[in-house]
Amino acid sequence: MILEIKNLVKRFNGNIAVDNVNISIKEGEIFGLLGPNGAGKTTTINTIIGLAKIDGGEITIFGKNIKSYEMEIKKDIGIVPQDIALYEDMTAYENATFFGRLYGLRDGFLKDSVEEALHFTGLWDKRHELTKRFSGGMKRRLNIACAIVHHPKLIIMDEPTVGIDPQSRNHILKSIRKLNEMGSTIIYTSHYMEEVEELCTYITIMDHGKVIAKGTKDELKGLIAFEEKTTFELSGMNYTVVDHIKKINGVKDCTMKGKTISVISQKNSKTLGKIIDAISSTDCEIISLSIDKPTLEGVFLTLTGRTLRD
Amino acid sequence: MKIFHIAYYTMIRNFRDKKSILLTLGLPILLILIIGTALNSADSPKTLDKISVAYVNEDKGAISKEFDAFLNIDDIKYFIDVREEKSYEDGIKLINEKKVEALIYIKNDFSGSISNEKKAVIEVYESPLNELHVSVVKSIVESFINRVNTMEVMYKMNADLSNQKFIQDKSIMDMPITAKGNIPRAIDYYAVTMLAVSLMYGTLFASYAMAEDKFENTYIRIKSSPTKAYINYLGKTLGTIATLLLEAILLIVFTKYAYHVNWGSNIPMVLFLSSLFSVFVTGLGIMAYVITNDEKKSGTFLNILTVFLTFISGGYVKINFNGIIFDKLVAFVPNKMFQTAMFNTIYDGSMHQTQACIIGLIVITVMIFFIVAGFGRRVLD
Ligand SMILES: Nc1ncnc2c1ncn2[C@@H]1O[C@H](COP(=O)(O)OP(=O)(O)OP(=O)(O)O)[C@@H](O)[C@H]1O
Ligand SMILES: [Mg+2]
Repeated sequence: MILEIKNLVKRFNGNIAVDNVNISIKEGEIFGLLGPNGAGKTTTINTIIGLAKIDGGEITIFGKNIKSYEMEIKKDIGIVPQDIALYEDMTAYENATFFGRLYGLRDGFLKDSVEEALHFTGLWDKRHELTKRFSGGMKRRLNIACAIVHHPKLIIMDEPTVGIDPQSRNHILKSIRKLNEMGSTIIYTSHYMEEVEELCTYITIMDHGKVIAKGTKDELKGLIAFEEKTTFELSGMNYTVVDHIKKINGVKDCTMKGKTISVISQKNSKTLGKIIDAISSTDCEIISLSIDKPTLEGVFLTLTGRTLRD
Repeated sequence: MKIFHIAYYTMIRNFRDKKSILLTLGLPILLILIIGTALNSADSPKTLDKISVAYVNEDKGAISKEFDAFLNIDDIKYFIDVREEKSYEDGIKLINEKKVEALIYIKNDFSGSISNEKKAVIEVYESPLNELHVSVVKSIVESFINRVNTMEVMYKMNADLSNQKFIQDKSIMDMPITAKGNIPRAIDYYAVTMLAVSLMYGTLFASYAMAEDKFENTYIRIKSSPTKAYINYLGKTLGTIATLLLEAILLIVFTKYAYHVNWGSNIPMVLFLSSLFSVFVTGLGIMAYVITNDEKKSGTFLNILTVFLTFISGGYVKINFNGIIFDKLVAFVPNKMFQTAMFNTIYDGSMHQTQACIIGLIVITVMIFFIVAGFGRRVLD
């Protein structure tokens, strides 16, 4: 385990922000921390890097206690804060150099590492521009560059894609995967479930300061998904096909509304082929077909009765 | 070292802050030109006139007789025109009538006090007419007292004093202001006071440097990096001091070559005084922030303080307070100490006064940093 959080409790003036949270992160993972606004994601992260005093629990990073080995541990962590943390009156190059130096890098190695980080985030050509003239997406990228200059073993990213255009977002997601391939463990928080679903190998869902579910994508979806819904749009109407489909093994229900047929089947019952056969045997053709897979959004909805973005 | 790295970037960023640089450097340079040239013709003589001084000696003891003789040395007479008066009241009257510019007054117990090892003073009362002239008189008196003190010490050590007559001693002339041709024009005066103003506005740099990370998100990065908080704050402090010193150098060089301001020949001392004042100013800015724990409040306070201190130490207009107590208090105002030390350095004035000012500034600065250390624990983490 690269990071282990046990029974973490954090209060703000009596209000509980993190409530008995347990998290273990394996080396090499892209660990997703998913939760709506105010769930306690940032607070949890802040306690990991020693920014906030904790009211209870224990945090072990790289097998060491954060209290006793603070400076040693911090050297190997890179943090991408939720709010862009850069000096606006410094260039991209200067920002990366400044923070790289704070992590103890110096001279030629510092220079090379800064260059590497700026190339990595696609900012090398803009390195001599002042940060305040950067677009939101470029700032986000520089926010990441400053966190990776010192080649950290553990990179913590707190909603690194908030409020940016799709192009920058894709660039960022790609680079996160690359960083992971290069050997860094990633903690990634977000309230965009699509992102987390796409990126993360292991996911923990938080709400109101509590961990409400954890597991791999499939494990989490398994929590709610006992059924699959398939929708067909046909060229004409045929009521007998509904009866045929209902008789297929594994199909629980079938309804028709105009030219649209909805089929609910048991999960993994492999009914799709048989349903298509049944439709083909009539004079109708299938114009389109869609399968609703369970999503993390659905998981969250089921667990809390709310959607993530409420 | 990380400290120097942080200091370097603090300085770079200060100089990129165009608004602040304009306030701390541009404005003073402009003011020097405006006030300096506006007042120059009206206010300042080009050569030093003889200074008329009233002299009352009620003592008539041995040592004050020496002073009588001292005042009669040719080199002293070159500077001052002594008019002996009978009583203190007569002397003051002459000052009030503006017939003389200063009164040197020796009380009747003067020699007696010295023999009895009590404190004895030669008092100098000044008219508000001409600060520079009065300072010449003061340094003349001071140089005499220095001689007396030296002789006292030698006397106690049983040295042979028979040849120690200052009347023949030319070396006294090393001490008073050698003002020949060295009179400050208005522009020279304002260059020094505006340098003080410029540096005083530097408190804002200091206050900002301490506060900024708390309100910017950079705090998270700095706190989560393996750099101790005190290293960060020390770096910023050093960077602020370096900023101010560099500003001082720019102001001095610019005014020297563009306005031909006289900064004297002792440049190392001028730079030392500027550094010392920069350290003081930085401490003051940090102190205001750690006490208020609020950048806006400390900014407002520092702005007002700068204007107030500049005003009472004669930075905008030369002022003379007739109340002696108030005058004495002003002498302890850091700006005033800085200015006094600078004038004495540039115009070869009293070494003693310069030293006193330096010590005063150091004491105040050390006190400020102690306060910062006390409050800092609470505010700077
Ligand atoms: N410094 C603070 N003082 C008081 N309350 C705080 C503080 N920081 C966070 N909180 C509270 O703790 C709770 C958790 O906040 P946190 O910022 O950790 O949530 P989050 O999951 O990161 O949300 P978001 O997605 O909006 O970033 C919230 O109720 C918040 O109001
Ligand atoms: Mg957050």
